[in-house]
Amino acid sequence: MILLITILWFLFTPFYLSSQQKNFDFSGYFQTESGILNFLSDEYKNYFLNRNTFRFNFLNKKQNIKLDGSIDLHILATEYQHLYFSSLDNSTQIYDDLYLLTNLRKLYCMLKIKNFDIYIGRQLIKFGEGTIFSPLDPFSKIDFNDILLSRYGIDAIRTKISLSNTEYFETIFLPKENFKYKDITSRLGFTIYNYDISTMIYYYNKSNIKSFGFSFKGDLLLGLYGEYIYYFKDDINFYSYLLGLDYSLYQKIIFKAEFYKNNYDNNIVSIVNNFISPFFSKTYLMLQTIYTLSIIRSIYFTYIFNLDNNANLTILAYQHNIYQNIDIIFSLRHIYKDISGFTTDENLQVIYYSFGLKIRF
Amino acid sequence: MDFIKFMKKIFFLIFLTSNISIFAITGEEILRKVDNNLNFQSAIITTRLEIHLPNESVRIKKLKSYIQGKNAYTEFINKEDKHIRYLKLNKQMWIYDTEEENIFLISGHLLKQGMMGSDISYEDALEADKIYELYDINLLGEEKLNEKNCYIVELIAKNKNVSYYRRKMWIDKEYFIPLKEERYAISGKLLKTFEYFDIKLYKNRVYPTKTIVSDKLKQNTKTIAIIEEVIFDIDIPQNYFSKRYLQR
Repeated sequence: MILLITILWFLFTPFYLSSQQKNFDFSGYFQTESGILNFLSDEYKNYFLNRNTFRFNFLNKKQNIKLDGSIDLHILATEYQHLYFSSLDNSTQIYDDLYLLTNLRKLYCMLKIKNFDIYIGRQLIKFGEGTIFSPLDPFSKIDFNDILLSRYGIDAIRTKISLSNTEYFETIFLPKENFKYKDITSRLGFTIYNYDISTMIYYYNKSNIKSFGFSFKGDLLLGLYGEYIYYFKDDINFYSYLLGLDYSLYQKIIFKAEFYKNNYDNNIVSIVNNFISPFFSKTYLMLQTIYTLSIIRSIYFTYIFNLDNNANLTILAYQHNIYQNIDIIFSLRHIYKDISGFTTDENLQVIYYSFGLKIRF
Repeated sequence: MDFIKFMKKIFFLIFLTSNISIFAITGEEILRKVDNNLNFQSAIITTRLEIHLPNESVRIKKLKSYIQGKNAYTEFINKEDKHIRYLKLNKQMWIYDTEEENIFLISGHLLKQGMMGSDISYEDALEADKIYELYDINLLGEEKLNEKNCYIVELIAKNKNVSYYRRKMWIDKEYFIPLKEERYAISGKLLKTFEYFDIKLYKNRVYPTKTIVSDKLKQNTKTIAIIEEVIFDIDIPQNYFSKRYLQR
């Protein structure tokens, strides 16, 4: 482990130092996290887990062209790979119970031609306003093992035209299954009466399903946001929506609540799983609190409740900045049943306690 | 003749006292002079924020702001926060995280949160309207502060849509810039104090380049904002104040 980190450091340091003279900008972080995973079931089991992540961001920007990339190298020990295998590709066993996973989060080129921006490659694209639930967003896959719930990229060709300071129109082509299928979506964004609003349409090539929807975010005593999307094809139609509230208290505490619902028919789950993943049940609730004790100390609490099967996921984390670029993170995760609703494991109950260190560069 | 001389003296005294009342400065006039110094059409400002917390080392943030009228674009230039940018258009503010490529609208009550956890709230940063348009102003008197003669001016909000209901300012009589300010809630509770230092002359204006902000709702914390570089009244391309530039 130490040898690998040392090698990585010596590989990237020269690039970092030389970037001061060129247009390349490097940044990222190293994060290590260790913890105990308890299965609270009939067969009580404890596992020691360890996850190490090296995130490397690079950016080369000139006037009308930009190259942007970000790669995660995960080194997972013991049981952690079982949590990850379903969501990441390119894993390599490097030692007994030690796996190296790479995840190219983004690598794209952006060209600026007058009011047009063209993005080609793997990009982070997010539609909608939701924090956890986002029915309008067909792109983002959230890393639920990251307390900050960061996202993974998607391969696409995107064109965006600025209509004004805040208004835009964009079209995105998404190749699927090695260019066998091509999805396409368009979105219009604008601001009216201090509300950010967007409308979108989407065509899913493989399933021949179309959808249209909208999102909004603004303030009405409380912060208010929402999304609605309607899918249709021949005799298949269903909708999903999200309603969210946020509020700030004493300039330190932010409360958020989200309610999500969809009404797809269980018979078509194999067709629609891509649209609703990872939330396969009909109704969910999310509560989140971020308590900023000071600039260097924050507490995060997230509770996701599946109203259909009573599954829930609780994440409690404490983040402390101990030096300018160094954070320590204590977290506790409790999982009761399958929050996704995809399986019916009634006995699943897991607690995971962890301690992490994050160094930004 | 003695009577005529006596009446001339009386008329002279009356004239003198009436002119004193005509030329005495009012609170609003003081604030207008202050606004002439502090408000500007455009500027590019590099600011260093030193955030002081009890029993902790000082946290340093550096940011560069492009400001024109009620619009502003700000990006952090210290290494740890380089991925964060802000766009303010009139009363709205968006945050963009270049690492997650996600844009957030900060609206309403969320504007009361401190920027990056500092004692300076988004509302404080958004404030751009002329003070005398938002407040009723009373001149309370004069006092010496830090060896400087000051006017003491009290401001009471005309309506409740401002960040602070009541403000009390100590204004330097020579340069017409605030040296100290206390900001109060409608309940009368002291919320924040601002202290201004290191006054510098920039062409036709004087400007304090060091501000110490203390949030009275927190204990033993303060944020020091130091202007390292500033250019006033410069043409800034309009494309800086757009979501496209924010997300570039």
